[in-house]
Amino acid sequence: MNKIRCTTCVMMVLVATFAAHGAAAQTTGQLQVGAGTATDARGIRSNAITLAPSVTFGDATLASAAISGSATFFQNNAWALGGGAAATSRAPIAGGFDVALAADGSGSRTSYGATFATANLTPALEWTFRPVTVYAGTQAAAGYTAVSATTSTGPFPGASSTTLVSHTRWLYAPVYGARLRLLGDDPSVGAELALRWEPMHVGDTVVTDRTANAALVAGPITLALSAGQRTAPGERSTFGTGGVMLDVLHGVTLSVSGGRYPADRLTGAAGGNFMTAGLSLRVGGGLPSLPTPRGVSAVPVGATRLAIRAPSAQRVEVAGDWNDWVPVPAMRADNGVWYADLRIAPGQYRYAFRIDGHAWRVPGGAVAVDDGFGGKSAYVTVRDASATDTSTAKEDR
Amino acid sequence: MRVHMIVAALLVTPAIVAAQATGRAQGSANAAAAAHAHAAAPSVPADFSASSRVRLEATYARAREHHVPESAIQNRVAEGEAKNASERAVVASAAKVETNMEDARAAMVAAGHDPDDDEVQAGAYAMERGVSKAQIGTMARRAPRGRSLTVAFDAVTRLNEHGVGLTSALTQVQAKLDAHASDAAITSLVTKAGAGVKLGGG
Repeated sequence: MNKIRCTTCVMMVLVATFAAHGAAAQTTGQLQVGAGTATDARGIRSNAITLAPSVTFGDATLASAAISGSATFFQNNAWALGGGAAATSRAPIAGGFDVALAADGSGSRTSYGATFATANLTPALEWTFRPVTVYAGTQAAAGYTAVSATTSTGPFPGASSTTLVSHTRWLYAPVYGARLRLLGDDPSVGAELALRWEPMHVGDTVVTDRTANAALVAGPITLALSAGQRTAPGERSTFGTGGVMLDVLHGVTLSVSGGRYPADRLTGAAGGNFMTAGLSLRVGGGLPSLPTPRGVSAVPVGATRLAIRAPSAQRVEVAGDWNDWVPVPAMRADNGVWYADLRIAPGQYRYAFRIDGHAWRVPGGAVAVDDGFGGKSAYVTVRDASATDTSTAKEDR
Repeated sequence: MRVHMIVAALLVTPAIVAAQATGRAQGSANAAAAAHAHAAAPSVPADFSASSRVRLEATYARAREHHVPESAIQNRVAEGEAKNASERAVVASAAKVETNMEDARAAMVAAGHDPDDDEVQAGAYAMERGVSKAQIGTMARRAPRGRSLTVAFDAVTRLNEHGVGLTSALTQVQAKLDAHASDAAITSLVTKAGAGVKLGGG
């Protein structure tokens, strides 16, 4: 229960972080504090408080890694300690295709002698066309569960022995899915719809999960919904979660979530219902680094390169103070970064990119402000080459 | 009597003619000046309403009066038009950038620094990003004579964006200015802050 509940919280935070930053190239530390209640399918109810620190490194759109821990304290004085690590990477190929790899592992130990561990690896091929991404991959996972069982021995009361009952389960699943990302003219508003189909082979059993996820970001508010159906021999069940997050301050997010989660086929943990409320504190991160086009020639001498990550865009232009805001076309690099090499006189300028002829955006990592027109503008300072020890005019971002 | 009148007329005529000529010349000069002023005048979108045009022209006039660059206002108007902003938003944003430039220039002048247009604009941009008029004045006061503040203003706001407190950012940049550091050295403050963020040290 707890693992799934925490995972829901973490996923919600990741959705919000991704939506807010687009591509986050940075190190971010985070501490989540949550309190909640859950009732599993057997009717066993538990109330708990969880502390979950985590650190994330890298660029969410290309390569990232995270390590995390969790400490859960139950109402009956039981506790659970856990830790995990996850990594993702993405390598653009050509024609909108990417190879993506996701891997994660986690383990936890409880005060009542139970141990859970899982490992998962999912390589996939993705294809993005405009706001739509479709993917297909293969998931391979393993789960280990060990539970101490105490049994009475002999004719005398109190005599008992403890045995360790453990299981290791393997899972293989082709994974198919699609995502639709919708961005409005207002950069603070966005939505994503995702569908996923996983026919999991657990031992000799095929368990198929069909899941739909939706996330809506509107300024400081994020709404995340998930609904799914599981079919297996002798089982047909539904599950779903919903949550709301509110950024109350920079780096401080309140969240409330609840719903029904399915049984974990890897660890054998029962499904159930949950409700949780939490607070997330995020530190570090700062500005993500500016996008860099890959596989293109170096910046020409005396030119200033401006770039933005927009892998699903069909047309990108850039405009700014230096040219009376007349958009000029940018070029697409293989990694989905659009760039323009411009001859700009030394000075400081406001600029923005126009995506597909209508939505103005600023690059993640750029210094930017509200533009006064409901969007954002970025700043670039082009230094005078003669005033520095560099040989060319240099963009100073 | 008639002779006197003719003589008087002959005497006066050149003056009248001259006066008329002068008047025409003056008129031509005015027209030329107006034409020049019109040609050089920053654009006011033709499709704007009369009241918006008046307000925008007043903003340009105020910029001329206070010796701040009209080009920055022109840029803001162009940006608003490119982004299909409303007339009201364009006029308000233009007025805001003019006010910021006015304040930035006044702060620098009061601090004994005679800023060029680039510095005025950079100061205004810094104010858009949270730097106060007083802080601009402090930086101008501490800057070596003749030193451009454009890069320094940018460095302060970028350090702040990297999570460095505004006071700390100002202190760091001012220390560099005190040490007569180069623009590259001032910019390196931001680079180091960025690396600190990547290492998790903020």
